[in-house]
Amino acid sequence: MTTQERITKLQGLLTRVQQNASRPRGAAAMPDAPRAAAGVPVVPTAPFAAHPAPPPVAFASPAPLPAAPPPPIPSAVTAPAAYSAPQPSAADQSVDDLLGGPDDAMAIDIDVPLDTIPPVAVTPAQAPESEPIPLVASTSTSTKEPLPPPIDDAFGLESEVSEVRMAAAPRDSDVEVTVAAIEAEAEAEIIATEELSEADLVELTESSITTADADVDIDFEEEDDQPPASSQRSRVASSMDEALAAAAEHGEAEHDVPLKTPPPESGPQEAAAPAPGVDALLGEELEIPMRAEAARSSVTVPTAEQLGQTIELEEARGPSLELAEPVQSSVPPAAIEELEVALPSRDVVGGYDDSLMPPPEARDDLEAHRRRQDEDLAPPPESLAQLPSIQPGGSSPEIVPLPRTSAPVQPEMVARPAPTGSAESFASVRESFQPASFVELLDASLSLGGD
Amino acid sequence: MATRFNPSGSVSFDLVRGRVDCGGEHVLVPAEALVDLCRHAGDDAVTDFGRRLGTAAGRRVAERLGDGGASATLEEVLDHLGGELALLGLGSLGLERWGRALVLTVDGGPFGQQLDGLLGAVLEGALQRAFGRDCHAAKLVRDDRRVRFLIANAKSAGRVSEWLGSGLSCGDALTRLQITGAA
Repeated sequence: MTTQERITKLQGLLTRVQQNASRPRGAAAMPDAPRAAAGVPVVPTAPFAAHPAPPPVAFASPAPLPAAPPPPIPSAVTAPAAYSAPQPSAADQSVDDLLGGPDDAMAIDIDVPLDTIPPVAVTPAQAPESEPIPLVASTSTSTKEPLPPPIDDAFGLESEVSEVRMAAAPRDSDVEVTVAAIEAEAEAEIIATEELSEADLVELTESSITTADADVDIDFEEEDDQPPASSQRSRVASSMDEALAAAAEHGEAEHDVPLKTPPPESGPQEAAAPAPGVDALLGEELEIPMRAEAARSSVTVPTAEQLGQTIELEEARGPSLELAEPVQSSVPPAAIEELEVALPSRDVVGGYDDSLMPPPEARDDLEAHRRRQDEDLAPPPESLAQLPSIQPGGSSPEIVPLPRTSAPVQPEMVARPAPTGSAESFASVRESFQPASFVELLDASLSLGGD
Repeated sequence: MATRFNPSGSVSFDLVRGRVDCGGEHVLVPAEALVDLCRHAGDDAVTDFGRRLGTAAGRRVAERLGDGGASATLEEVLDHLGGELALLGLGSLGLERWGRALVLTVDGGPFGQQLDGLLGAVLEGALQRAFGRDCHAAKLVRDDRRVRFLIANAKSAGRVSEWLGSGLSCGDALTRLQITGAA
């Protein structure tokens, strides 16, 4: 190749780089692409099998590739190792960044955590220029073929992948980038790329064949365990194990909750984590705390946060109330016999009480009866036309003296005649039966009993 | 007027022929054997046996009293009737009057306290045959030697026997009989 051809190629390359600068970097490189572009025969060896292919959704390629082998592990959804997570914008990237230095071409260990790669859901509409890059292990052994494969033509992977591969180390931003310098670097880079490709081919082949442990390119697990400090975005768990691991990690990190029970106003709180000495106690003999110890532990003073809104109640004022004892009456309760009181006896048995008043309906009749009695006793009324029979100024009646007799005044005694007959009279029950003959007695005896 | 009982010639023993004649042929029978016989004979047979003995005695009394038997006093009847029973060896007859009730007693009978029914039946047969009255003798009371019989009709005799059986005393039963009889 002549110099002019190289310059032309470099210019074309520059143009592509400039064009690709505006493209999203999600479709810029693939793990197998550098090798394929570098003419490295991609063999599905063990180290590569550990690197799963990107999700098919992200690269829903419309172009069927007959030589494309199926992904080794479809279920493992991770991004390729060469994928740089912190994606600066295309405007911030310079050509030097894109090209990278030949010295850094060997930077295989790129600390790019796969976790930082967001779930790519690139659709053709969002990225019209970045068509899906097929995970094709190209069989071409050299990039110098006159007719590059249609895939490379379509995506320009031949040089682009190589360039991305080499652009690992940042360059000094103070150096002015010129076309000449770019060309010079590109020339040296191509040479290095070719040399690197050959060397890598040999080394990778040997290393992959000799031992699987020699694959020190990327250790995804270690990268997962050590996320970068700038990775603060929440990840979406792609599998159940990952979700559980994240939850456990999150729980350990945020289990630092106060041991004391917050006041009720604080709302729901997370339960306190077990005491650190519990694990130690599990191996030993557990001692059941006594009630006194529990009381002592529960009497600890609450924190100020817990007492923030606690309202202290004032003590009761005023005299203390005490229940008085019931007063014992000095007079003993009367016995049942003493409670029995005899009813007052009536003075007149069968009579009426003088204080009783006549019934109202009989009062008129009683008054009429008394009036009639008074009329009977009173003298008959005299007519005023006649002189009254009794004259107050009349002569007094004459007193006729009784004739005196010589005989003394004595009562006539009537003597009771003495009884002449006997007062007693006896009725004899004995029948004087004197039978004259035996036959009479016999008949009397036979007549007893009514028969 | 009736004569007193004269037992002379009432019983004749014909030792040659071995016969005992007492207004008819009689047999001298031991009292214990007669008791055993009457005990096994039954009440009706004893009653009939006693009535037959009394009828014979009453016939002889009636013969002795003659036409004056109806006016015979208590002592005369008692003398003749008692004489006849004595000839039979049945004990000493007595007479008591309890008001209007006639009570005959038998003292010193040969059967002791046994066969009182036989004695009552003898009295019934004698009175019936001698005086022509249907009489019933109800045993009132008995002690060691004496037994009393009420001579009454059949109804009164049965009633008194019931009273005595209910525990009433002899005097109370006769007094009650007098009251009921008067009513």
